[in-house]
Amino acid sequence: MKGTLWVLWEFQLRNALRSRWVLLYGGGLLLLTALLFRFGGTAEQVVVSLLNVVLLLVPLVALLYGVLGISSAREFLELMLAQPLQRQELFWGTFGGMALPLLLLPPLSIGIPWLVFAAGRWELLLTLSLGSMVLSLIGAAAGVAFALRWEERLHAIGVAFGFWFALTILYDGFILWAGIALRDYPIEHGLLLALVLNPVDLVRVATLLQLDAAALLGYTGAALERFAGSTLGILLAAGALALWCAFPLWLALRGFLRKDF
Amino acid sequence: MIELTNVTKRFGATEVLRGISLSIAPGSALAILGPNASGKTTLLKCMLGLTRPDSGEIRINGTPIGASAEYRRWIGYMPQHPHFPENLRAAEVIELVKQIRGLSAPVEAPYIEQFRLTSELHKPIRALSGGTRQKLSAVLALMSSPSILILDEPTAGLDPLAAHTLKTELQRCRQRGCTLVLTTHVLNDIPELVTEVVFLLEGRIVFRESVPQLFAESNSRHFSEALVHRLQRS
Repeated sequence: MKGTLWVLWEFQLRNALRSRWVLLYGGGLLLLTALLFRFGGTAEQVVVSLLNVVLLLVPLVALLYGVLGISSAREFLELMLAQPLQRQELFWGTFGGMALPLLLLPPLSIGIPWLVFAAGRWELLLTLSLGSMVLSLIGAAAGVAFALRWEERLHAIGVAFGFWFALTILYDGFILWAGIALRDYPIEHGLLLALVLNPVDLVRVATLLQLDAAALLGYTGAALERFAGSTLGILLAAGALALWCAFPLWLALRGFLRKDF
Repeated sequence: MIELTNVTKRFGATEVLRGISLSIAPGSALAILGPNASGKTTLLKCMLGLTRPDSGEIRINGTPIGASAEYRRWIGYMPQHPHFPENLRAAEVIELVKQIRGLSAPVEAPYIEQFRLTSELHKPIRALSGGTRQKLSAVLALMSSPSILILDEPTAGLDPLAAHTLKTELQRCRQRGCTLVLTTHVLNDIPELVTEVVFLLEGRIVFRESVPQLFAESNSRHFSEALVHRLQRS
């Protein structure tokens, strides 16, 4: 007999894969990548064009998917909790089934045209795919945590938008402001550290460094390349990413275990 | 046996349940009545472990409900507003619950026939009406032949024929010794379904009385009149 987690994953996956929004998201990314390859040219050019889509769209879609996935399933979760299921089991079953298509769609939608157009530069595809998966996981977990904390759907969506805006735009704005305001001080390493601590910036930096674009950024770019290439830089980046994945997941699990349905 | 001892629950500043103590014997049938926001649904959700009481204890067949989820194997539940994943089909939802409960035989078949759901089974949930979803919810609650049925407004949204079918099924469950706990605003259903009522007001039990006694005290043939008479006495 199948384990309960598998049963929950299977049915959640079936539900997600039949959703027109999931199909639209995957199909849209696939079409965009194919068009960029068809008209844009090389793998490097396509990645530069796709990078902003991945950095802005992927976390936003994942956040909204997480919020709506939980807030629209509240009564169903109630029914599931009335079955002989542990809360923890139900959380992992529901979250796993919800998040899996979200994690796999960007790599597949970008990877299939990449294969079809035989673009080469596989390390670029790998970086972009892993980056999109990490951003999807963080977004989905944070979205679930927000939906569990704020019962009113519009409220949770508002918080999700605020989080996305802070992560993708405000944070960079703050770093830019700090860079200008404190330009007379030796703050390069502090700013580089700040860049590594934001997952969106981390994915951006990791991809750009593979494109040798850091050379265009002058002294800062060289410092960035040195820092990100060092053992300390890699450890810090990996640690920050692991924490970024674990913290929203922990928040979501904690919220689910404590929730009064 | 369902036993609640001094159960309290607060949502923010609102105290929803205030020291509820209640004992429901196996095989009995009890309706929890009261105005809106009196704590009926919260009380049912506490019995199911969906909502955690702030204090007090709940035991089902002697097992404290916080210890494990296994006690829910004995329980069938019909929520007030049934909601299922929109892209699944009714048959898949039934299969999901069967797999979770470890049921393999076609236990749902007689109920699907009773509720005339055969033609709806392979339609996506989003294409089903509210009444059909309620019938599906009834099938899910009944199909595992639970020893306890907890029903929140079970006949709300059902057409008269489906409501009659559900009431017949519930009476059948009672004949085989099932414990029935329900809330309803349809007072005409009460004498048909239960033998006892508990009246809640602002999270407190105002009275608990048997249905025949309510009728006897009021000299009325209508349950609503009997209930009003009893409330005036309180």
